[in-house]
Amino acid sequence: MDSPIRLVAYSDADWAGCSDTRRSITGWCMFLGNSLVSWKSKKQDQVSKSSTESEYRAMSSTCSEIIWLRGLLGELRFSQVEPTSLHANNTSAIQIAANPVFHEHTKHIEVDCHSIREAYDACVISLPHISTILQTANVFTKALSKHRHHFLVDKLMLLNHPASI
Amino acid sequence: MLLVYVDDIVITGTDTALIFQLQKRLQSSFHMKNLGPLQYFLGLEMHSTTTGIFLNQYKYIQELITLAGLQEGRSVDTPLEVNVKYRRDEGDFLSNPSLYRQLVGSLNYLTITRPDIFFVVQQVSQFIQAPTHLHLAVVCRIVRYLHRTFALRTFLPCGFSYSFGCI
Repeated sequence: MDSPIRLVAYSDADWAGCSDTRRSITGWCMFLGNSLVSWKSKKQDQVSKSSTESEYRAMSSTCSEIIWLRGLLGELRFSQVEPTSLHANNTSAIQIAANPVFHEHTKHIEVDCHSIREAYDACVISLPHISTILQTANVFTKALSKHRHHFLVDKLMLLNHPASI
Repeated sequence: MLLVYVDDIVITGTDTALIFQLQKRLQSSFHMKNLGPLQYFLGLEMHSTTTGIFLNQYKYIQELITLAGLQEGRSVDTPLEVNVKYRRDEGDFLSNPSLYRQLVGSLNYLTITRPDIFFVVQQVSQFIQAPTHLHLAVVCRIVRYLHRTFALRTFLPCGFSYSFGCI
């Protein structure tokens, strides 16, 4: 059965977010239709030399989750036919994933990170750019101002529901 | 789909008749009580409406605020201060870190319905081995934020009709 409900993903990173180790923070979230179904905030396992690199690492781990979720949805007979959109706000990181040419600044990135290229080629994911302002995953990478925090909380579909209790 | 936790079972699916049939089948083999539509499971409260499902841990939040002893304290708008980075060995170590650990553990469980605190809970979880007074202050701020925003619920809008049942 083809599902009318699409999986959509957002990926962000805070470069050198950890002051003890200077490692970056990965943040991502995924929606099935309009429902938030999966999210993560995690320190990356090594230091990134640039913000692009940290974003690329974040996108790569988001991609792994997408592959797993698409498999799970397939088992539940909600197969995703279209590629899953992985929204990222760093154009250079998107380029590294979508354009498998040699990049001087990324030659040290481990092979496993580049699995995202294969997923992109196989149309498992697509890589639309999203503005930083609309980047929902931002809330999983750093502390935000009151206005920004509540704007993103809204996007996560956290609502005040006065009807019960 | 059938979910079993010790002696609680949740059944869900798109076919109500099939759910009913499964319930009957199980009831014929095991001694069990049908509690009707799912409302409460492992501290999670569900509220089903025509537009979708609301999930919250209202009772759990109240217990957490009481555990922290912050029922009367001032509340805040955000879970974490902006532009402040926390380090591992900043401040004096807590002589008894058990309250810190208990609070952080509970906050972790609360992230199931409150992804808005997920980042900050990830932050404070890193200091669980040797928490300082400063780290405890961060945890207390999260609790004060919850005090302000306890009415926030995760909303899962329905794309199509879904029914939940529980035994």
